[in-house]
Amino acid sequence: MDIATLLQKMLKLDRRIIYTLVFVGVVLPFYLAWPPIRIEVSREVEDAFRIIDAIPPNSTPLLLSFDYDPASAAELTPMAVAALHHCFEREIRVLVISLQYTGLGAGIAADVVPRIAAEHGRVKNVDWAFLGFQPNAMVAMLQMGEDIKRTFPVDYYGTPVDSIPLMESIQNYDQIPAVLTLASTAVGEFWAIYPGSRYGLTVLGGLTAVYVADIQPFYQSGQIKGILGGLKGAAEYEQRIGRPGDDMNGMRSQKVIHYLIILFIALGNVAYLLARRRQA
Amino acid sequence: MMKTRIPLLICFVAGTFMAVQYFIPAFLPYYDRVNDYIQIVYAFSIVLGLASVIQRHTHRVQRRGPEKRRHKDWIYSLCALAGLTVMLLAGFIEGRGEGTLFQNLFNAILLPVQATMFALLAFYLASAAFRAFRTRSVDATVLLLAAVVVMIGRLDDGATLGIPKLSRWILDNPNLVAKRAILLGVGLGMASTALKVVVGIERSYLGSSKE
Repeated sequence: MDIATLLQKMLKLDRRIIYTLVFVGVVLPFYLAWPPIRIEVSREVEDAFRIIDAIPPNSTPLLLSFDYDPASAAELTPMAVAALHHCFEREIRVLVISLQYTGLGAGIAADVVPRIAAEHGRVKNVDWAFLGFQPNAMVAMLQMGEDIKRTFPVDYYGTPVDSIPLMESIQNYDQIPAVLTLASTAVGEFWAIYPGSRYGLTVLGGLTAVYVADIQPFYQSGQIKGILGGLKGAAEYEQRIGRPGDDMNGMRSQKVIHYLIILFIALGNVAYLLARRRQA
Repeated sequence: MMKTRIPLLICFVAGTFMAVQYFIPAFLPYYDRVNDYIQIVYAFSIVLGLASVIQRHTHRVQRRGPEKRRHKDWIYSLCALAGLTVMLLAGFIEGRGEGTLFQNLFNAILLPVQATMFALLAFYLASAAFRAFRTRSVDATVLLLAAVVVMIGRLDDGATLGIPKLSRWILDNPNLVAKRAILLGVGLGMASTALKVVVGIERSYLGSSKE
């Protein structure tokens, strides 16, 4: 086979071959526990960890907002799990809400939060509460700045919020030390723009990797105090709290796929440049 | 005349109020009430959306026209309507707590289906990277190199080559400058459009600019 034919074949590589390689690259690391992963905690994750860790036990709660849908669950649910482990281990209370516009984040929270709370023996409505979903995130955030109980009159399970012990001393953001928004859309940005600037709420972001570049200006300006970025951010947070978990397998898959994509880009360009040179 | 003047007046009063309330604490109770109104209007939009979905898919399922034929994709519409009905009934009858039918359907169907749809992106991305990410021009080459550096920066192996530092520099400088410029541009654009709407220069939301 001469070089021209080889180049032609490379440039027209069947997409099914690419898909098969990606499939193998994603699946194999889960079974082989390979390649090795070394996690170093970044500045953004360390900042988020310190702020959550400084919340006094059995006092004012961390506000945890599930602002994502199942499409982003692979990246963001590990962050939610890690943050909940951290809080419940340190007996930090957690107030959970969801402002993701389709309301599907509430379904994820309803599955994840009670499960992790049960592992630590934390009591519903005393150590944690789930207020449910509110549409129109921007306005809900502003309403919560004045009165959280008016924004969420009943919790996700239909219990009047007035009868929830955790909510007794909570009126608005003045009693919330920080919010951790787990977001894959502009809702994460809204937390910095509205409650962050108008009410001085400390905002932390647990964000999909692709969304981190959008939020970076808010971190540099101090409007967002800490960021957990993508699966790597979740793994770093797990590392920081001393609970490395299933994310390591996800990180292995991600590593293989990143290298595979870089290899595809390189191969595609080599073939393209050689073909162009031959044409010239 | 009244058809346009009254909406314009409501828009002017509401817009001006929301602009000045930030600086006048005495307006706080009214501001709370306006936020409540916005949520009520939003709730109506959800009802409208639901009605629209039901109407559209019912039309597709029904046999219509002189030949009494269904839409070619009617089976998908039937699935959509069945899903909507089952989830509504499950939620209303049993509630949404742990172990309920609603939560189980969510965990067993909706969650994996949506996650799968999104996961397909990885396959398309790899294919697109091979086919489309080419050094056709200087701009494309710079973009390609930046993407590769940021991608390697996310990997632990990159640390030995100092790539995470370079990746951070790209994110903290060129990316940040461009993002800030876009944010400022969008912000100024939004402010000027809002001002035009409030004072009645921009009237396209009324459906027509004619009286």
